[in-house]
Amino acid sequence: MNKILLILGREYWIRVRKRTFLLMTFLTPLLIAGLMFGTIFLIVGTESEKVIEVFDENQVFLKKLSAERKIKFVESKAKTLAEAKKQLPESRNYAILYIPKMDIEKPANIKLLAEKNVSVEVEERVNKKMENAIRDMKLEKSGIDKATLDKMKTEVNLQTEKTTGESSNSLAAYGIGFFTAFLIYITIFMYGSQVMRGVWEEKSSRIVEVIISSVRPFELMMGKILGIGLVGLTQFGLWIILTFGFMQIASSFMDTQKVAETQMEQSLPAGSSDEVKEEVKKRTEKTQNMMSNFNQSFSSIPVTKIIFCFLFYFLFSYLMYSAMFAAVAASVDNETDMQQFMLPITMPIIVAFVAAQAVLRDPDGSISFWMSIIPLTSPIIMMIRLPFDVPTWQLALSMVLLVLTFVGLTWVAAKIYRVGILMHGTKVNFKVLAKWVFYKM
Amino acid sequence: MSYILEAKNISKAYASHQALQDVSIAIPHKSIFGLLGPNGAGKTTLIRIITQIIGRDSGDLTFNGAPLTPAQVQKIGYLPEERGLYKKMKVGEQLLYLAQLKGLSHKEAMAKLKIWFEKFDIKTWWNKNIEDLSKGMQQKVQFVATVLHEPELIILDEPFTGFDPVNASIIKQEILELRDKGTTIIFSTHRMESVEELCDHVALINKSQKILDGTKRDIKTQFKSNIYQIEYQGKPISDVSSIYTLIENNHLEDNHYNALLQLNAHVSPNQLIKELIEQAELHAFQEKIPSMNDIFISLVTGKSLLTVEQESLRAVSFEE
Repeated sequence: MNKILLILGREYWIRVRKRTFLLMTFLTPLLIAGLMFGTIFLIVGTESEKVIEVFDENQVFLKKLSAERKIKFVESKAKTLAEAKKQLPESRNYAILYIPKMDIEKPANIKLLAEKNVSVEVEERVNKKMENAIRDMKLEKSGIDKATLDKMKTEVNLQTEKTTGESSNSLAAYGIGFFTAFLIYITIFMYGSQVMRGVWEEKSSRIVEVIISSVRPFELMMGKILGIGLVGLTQFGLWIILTFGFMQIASSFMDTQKVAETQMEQSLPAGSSDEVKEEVKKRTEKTQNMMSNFNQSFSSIPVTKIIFCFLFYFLFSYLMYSAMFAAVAASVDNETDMQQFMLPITMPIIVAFVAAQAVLRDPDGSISFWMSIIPLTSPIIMMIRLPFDVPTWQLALSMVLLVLTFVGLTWVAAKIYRVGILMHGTKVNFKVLAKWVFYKM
Repeated sequence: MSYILEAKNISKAYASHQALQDVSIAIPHKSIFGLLGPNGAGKTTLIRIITQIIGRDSGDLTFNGAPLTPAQVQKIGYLPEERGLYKKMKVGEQLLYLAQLKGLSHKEAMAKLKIWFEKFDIKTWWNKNIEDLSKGMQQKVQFVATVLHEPELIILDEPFTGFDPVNASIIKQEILELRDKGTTIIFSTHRMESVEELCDHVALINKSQKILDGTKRDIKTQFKSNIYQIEYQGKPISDVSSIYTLIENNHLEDNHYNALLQLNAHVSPNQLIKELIEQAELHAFQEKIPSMNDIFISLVTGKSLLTVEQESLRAVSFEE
């Protein structure tokens, strides 16, 4: 036991103090925080405001085109379109919206003229604006007044709820399930391959011949697996703490809500109507509403249960797979042979991850059920199913089977490891490995 | 005689072949015990059974008179033939780690390491990565790792490979010094000259069986067969004599010769000399004590010792 700790300690320290580990540990949260704020920043944004000159031969559209975030409509001061075009570079306006004289029943030849290519987003939004404006005008023409029109705008925010009365939100469930499953998936690959490389290094450098006279092969294998697993936990822990830390720091510099509001206000045309202000208020409310909805649904998801299950499945799937990786690395003579064994071992995880999409669509279907019970795929699939409420007996069965399989596979792996680690020059295939399991040592 | 380690009737079979068959050896305290045998004879298997890396099918092992237990592995130091170190680890750290795996505390290991680093004058290596050391330097580090925890029994498998003559002789001195301090050493090698030089006892394993065992002196006495090697000048000596049988007569240069003679029964060496000086100018006269090398080859190949000795004498004359 004492020796397992010694081995674990070495495996842990030599990895944790590596420069690449430190770099990964600090850069990843920075990247995550950066990405998150980057996206918010882009949406809320520093993006410069685009002023679109409206050259309207009908003289009616300007007031129908309400300002929207980042797009502002102004009247063109030019007398002719040609003049407007000429002045465009000096005015620094983004584009000219040219609306020829037309019948609103048959709008045609409306053009957006710009020096450079117009972005798809602006194009779509202006298009929408025009469609709305023309629709409003048509409605007014058929006798529906503005007040009625405004009343007709309804916004629905569908809230899903369980019959038991708890609120549920499939988006949050989807997100959490997928995220935790993905974490387990990459952990098995990242740290499993470290175990493999570690064992291979010991075998190929023949240090194992020296060590094996002081410790039992099983101790050496378990020490390595546990040490590297601990490295993984450390890295995850630091990632979570640092990501939160960086986000705190970043958000103290930038109060997103405020930024959004001020920018919206700025984008309003001077002397804007109350109507527009009302619009801004409504939108802010809507965002807040969505946020609180999301928060609510988060609280509807059993977070402690998910965290517990995540740690459980992470631990046992990592241990199970890395024991197999260790056995493979111990038995082969060169690295190419190692690849050949990698595939059959990693197949179940890859299949599970590919099946994740189907499971998300139908978390209670029979594929989902069986894959979350079968131990080789259960860590990934069960994590996906978990936020969608899994019956307790299924969860218990899945966990018990996983633990039993872990014990069984580790036993087999230890047997193969023990023989393989001292074996050189034997061409290894599955038949040989099977034979090693029953070797007396 | 008291034995530190006794192995009785050890057998071990792998799937396809018998690695050891009924092998018994007894290693006396404070001796250097040569474990000899050609490649694949089963030496490494025997050593791995003693160090409890692998189990045995049958047989008994006792250490200081009591059955060998896993805990006693700490009283054994093992330098395997195929040996390595963690390439990316620092010398000092690595030795500390290996010493702790052998059961030393961090403090003890530190204190002992200091002594060895001074002894070998390698203090500047402490913070070097193993991969930056030459092969010989790495061997030195491995030797330190083997003996650091002051084991009662040290097993050295081909300890001199990779050493230049200077360092080989340093290690040789260390081995003798350890023996004088009371450590017992099992020494497995193919290099017969180091067996001649170092070993007190010898066991020879061939084709998974022990075929020879005893002190070096006893073995040599057992194998000597009244043969004398001579060098002389003059005419070739007569090959018909009532005193001796001429086995081999090689012409070296000018009128120099070397020869192997076997003394006939009930004849003393003095009579032989008398006989010889009448025939030629005698330059050298020596009883042929069989070398470990010749005994080894004779036993392993099945040729008679005489044939082997003739062959090695011819090889000498060929060189000259």
